[in-house]
Amino acid sequence: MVKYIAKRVLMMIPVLLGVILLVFFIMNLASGNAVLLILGENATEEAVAVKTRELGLDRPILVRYAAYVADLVRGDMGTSYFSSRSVAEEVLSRFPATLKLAVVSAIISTLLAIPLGIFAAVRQNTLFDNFSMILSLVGNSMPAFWLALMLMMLFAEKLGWLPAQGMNNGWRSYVLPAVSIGFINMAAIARTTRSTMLETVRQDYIRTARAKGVDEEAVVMDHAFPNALIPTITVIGVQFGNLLGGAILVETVFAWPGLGRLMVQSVNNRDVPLVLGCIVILSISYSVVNLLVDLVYGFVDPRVRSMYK
Amino acid sequence: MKEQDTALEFQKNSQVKETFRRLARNRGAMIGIVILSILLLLALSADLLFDYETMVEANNVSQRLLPPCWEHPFGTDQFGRDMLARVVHGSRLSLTVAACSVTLSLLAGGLLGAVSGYFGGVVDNVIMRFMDVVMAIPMTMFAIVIVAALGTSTVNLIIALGIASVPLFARVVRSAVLTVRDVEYIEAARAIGAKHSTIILRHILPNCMAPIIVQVTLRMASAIYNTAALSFLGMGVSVPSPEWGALLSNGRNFISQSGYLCVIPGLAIMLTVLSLNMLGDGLRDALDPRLK
Amino acid sequence: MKKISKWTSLLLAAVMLLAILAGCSSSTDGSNSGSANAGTPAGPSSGAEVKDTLRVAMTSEPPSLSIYDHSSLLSVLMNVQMYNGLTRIDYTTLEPVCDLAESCTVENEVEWTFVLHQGVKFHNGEEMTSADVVASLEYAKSLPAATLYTASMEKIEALDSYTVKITTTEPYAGLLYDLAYYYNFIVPKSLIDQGNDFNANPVGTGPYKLKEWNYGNSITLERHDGYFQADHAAKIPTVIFSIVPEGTSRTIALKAGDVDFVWEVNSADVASLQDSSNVTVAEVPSVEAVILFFNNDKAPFDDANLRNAIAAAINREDIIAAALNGYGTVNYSCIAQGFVESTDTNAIAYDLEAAKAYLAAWGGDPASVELKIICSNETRVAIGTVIQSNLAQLGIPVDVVSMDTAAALNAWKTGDFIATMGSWSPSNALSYAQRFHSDRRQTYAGAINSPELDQLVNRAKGTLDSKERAALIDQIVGTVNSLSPQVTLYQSTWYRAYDEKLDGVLCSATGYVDFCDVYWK
Repeated sequence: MVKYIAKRVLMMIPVLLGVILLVFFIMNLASGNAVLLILGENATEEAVAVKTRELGLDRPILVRYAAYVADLVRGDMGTSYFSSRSVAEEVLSRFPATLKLAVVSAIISTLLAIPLGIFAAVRQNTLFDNFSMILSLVGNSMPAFWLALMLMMLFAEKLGWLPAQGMNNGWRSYVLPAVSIGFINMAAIARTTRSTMLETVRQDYIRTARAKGVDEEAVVMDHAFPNALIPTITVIGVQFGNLLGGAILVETVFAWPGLGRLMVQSVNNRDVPLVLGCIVILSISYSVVNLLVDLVYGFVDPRVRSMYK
Repeated sequence: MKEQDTALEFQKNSQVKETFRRLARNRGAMIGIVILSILLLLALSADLLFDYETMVEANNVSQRLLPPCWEHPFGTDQFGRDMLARVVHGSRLSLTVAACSVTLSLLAGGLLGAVSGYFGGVVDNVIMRFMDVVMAIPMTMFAIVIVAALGTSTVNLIIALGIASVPLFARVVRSAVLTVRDVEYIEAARAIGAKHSTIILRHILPNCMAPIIVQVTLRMASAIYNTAALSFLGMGVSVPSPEWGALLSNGRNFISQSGYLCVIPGLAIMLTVLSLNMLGDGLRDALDPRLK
Repeated sequence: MKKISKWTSLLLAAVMLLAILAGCSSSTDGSNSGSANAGTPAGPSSGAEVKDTLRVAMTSEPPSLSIYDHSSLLSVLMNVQMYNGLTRIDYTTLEPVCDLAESCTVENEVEWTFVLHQGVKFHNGEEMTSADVVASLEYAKSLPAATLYTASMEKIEALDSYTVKITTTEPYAGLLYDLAYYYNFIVPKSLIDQGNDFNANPVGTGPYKLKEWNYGNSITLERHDGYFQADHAAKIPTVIFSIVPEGTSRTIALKAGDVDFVWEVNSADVASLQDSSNVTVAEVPSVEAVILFFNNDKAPFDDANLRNAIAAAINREDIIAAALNGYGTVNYSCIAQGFVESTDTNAIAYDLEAAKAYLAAWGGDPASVELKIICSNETRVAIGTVIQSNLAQLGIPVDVVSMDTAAALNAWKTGDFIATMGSWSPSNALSYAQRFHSDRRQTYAGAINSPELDQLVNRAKGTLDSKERAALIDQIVGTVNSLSPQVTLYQSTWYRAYDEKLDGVLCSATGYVDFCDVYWK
């Protein structure tokens, strides 16, 4: 088990180096750099030259890449061009906001989706089933940022119940962004839960259990649900991973001080170390979530566990 | 040999028929097809319905921000342009951008995936590790970085979205290729000395179309979504193109007085994505009965 | 009674656990925001007591709290709360007045003497003396980014602890304006010597000092008790600047009472805020001009007739109505209106017939003019859209190129552009006039190669008599207006909205507010 985890973690390293290289080169293609943005449009040529040297942008790209990786190995993620704060400090100050939002919306979507999926499966082809599947289809097709705008229009602008932006209002701040993201993820989870539940209730052992006279609730919850859980967990995990990187738009709509917004901002600012910092952190957490999903998988399903040897 | 071919042909034909029969029985897929056909029809006849220069481009400041009414069923925007005309012309743009970007990623991803699956070994390893790298970057972010690098324009938007979803196609095609790589008729083709490219293009790819078709439909849906997302962030098409995401992003400033400017383009996006999703799900069920 | 199955109970337990977790996470956030609000026993909801906090909604995060290494108006806004210069620009007259200096006198044409206030304390407790002034100004001089505002100072000397003498290279009318420029603000010599990072540790003499910076979210300032001017000392002990990028959301937050002051009101929301009873909306006619620049070295835009034709064909009323929701001021002159010296001599107003005449004088084929306008934000794209529609009437095709700021700046700096949009809000007329000198070609897109103009600008710079100088500026403006190296599109009007229980809000035309003067009624 430990060996398996260690192997997976080691495998992340080359991927991460590749990610950094790729983003480094793409950002290098971008027209314009941070220097002019810092100095403003009235900067003299001399000032531009001095600042360029100060930021080390006069060196060839490969030298910069090597220097960056060398620093990274020592745990130094560099310094933001703009704020001159360390990237680690900057990124870590924003990450909790993204993580909290992701956790809260994952909770919301899971709590809504699993019962919805189970009931839809149990009452297959009833009105409830149809309704819940239409709901999840719509959720799956709705742009999260549009839903966010609509919720904002209704609950913040028209009704004035909830704050429109930021995270300064305690739990009330979380409601709209978390629901916007959660609703969309709910769709995918509910659909998976339903279809795997349907698959399992058709299996022989369920029929056996029913034949033995086990009551229906126990059949569903004790026998069918645990087996339907595996694909559901995968979907929840995948969605959670996507949440970390995909919440950019919802973060933009609600001015959530998270990583997504920081990244868009630093891309626009050509603040390369900060862009890399965001991407490194997000890629790592993405991989860690995937690893966790695989581990939970093994915990739920003994057959999978044997593969970790 | 000849007889076997016709037998295969016959089998294929009946397979296609069977697929269509199954698809026709799927209510969701049918609804999807109907909505999509209407959208396509609108997109194709946009120029006949509304003149681009006078209705979509030209400003009419005295008519600005009119709420939906008889002359302007969808209202007018801040420049006094008819929203209905813009949304209809926008469908053309959104669908084109999505189709182009999916084609791009299909071609690139398909090629990489096919080569990777067919040859295996080092080639496979190198290609797929590179795909892992791209996959490790959240897709929207990757597209943002690419657009920033290339600059904001419609073509660059297509490239960015296309590149970002190359790995998805590479993976799908690769695994499909793996399943047919070692079946007899491929071995036979190899034995009679057919070229690798011939084998891949003539024998392997046609036999793993099912998952590719499904993937194309579903990726179209997400391409529409992502086009809108990037336009919303101001990284999309250039003005005055009425791309849906751009309409939405523009309407955002007027959300308190003129909410319809946000509601309508959002509904258009949702409807398109919804119908593509329904069609994609239907196709998946029809093409692979085991998944049902 | 049916027995509750294992899984149902597990699910229930999970729900409860998650509910508790969610509760915890929100309560910790509550305490987080509580710490940002520390020292504010009167929370957001209790309006009855006397409030000791002011919550300001900003558009974006100031990139830096330092006075160096930035070119952001928002950062300058923060700077003026925390630092002082020898002089400052008076918010009503837009003339320089003494600030840290008690008096400033010009001894002869090039020697200026500044007598400092005594007992001025920095945020770190040190007393400010002439040594700090000399060190600060010398340091600013050493920074290439500030040369436009420091180059005139040849020698800076401390005559005694409270007297500083500045010698300029030649007679220079702009010195007192330059000293009010943020790079020339005064910071402790000891910190400069230590290589202090003024962004992380901003130490000045201003009425407020930094308390907490919650990156990406809010900046909290608190009163500097040792502030040297009693009448200008902070009246509200704590000011929290929170970042609310979406205009609509700032409006909603103000209406809901989540913030007290909205820095920049979304122009689409002005009317609704003016109607709302508990909000005051301040309309600030600014000196910021939004300008269309041509690459006036390059054909065909090296021809004044073509530029004039475009200037005459752009309908400024349309721009203001469509792109700014009606909130802006028409200005056809190359200098902002609002300074004592402002004029509109020779300005080319909107006139389609005149435009056609200019176009005929130019003589080329309008369809061959490829006018690609770089627009670097949403409003500018909207303006570009109007220009596109306007110039179609002359048959000139316009391409609105949306770029982010970095790419737009790069395009203009490398000369790889045809036309671009920019805004400019200097604090004085001389700065406006100086821009058109050919030696500014590299730093200002509207500068033009004209020896006659260069000579006028040089004379204006060296003229200390304000009347004479005003006449020269009028000549400069007249010359520039007749050549249209740039087209002024409009002059911004800013809207600041705040709780009607606030008083003492003075919004300057240069874009700043001294929050120390603001108080709760």
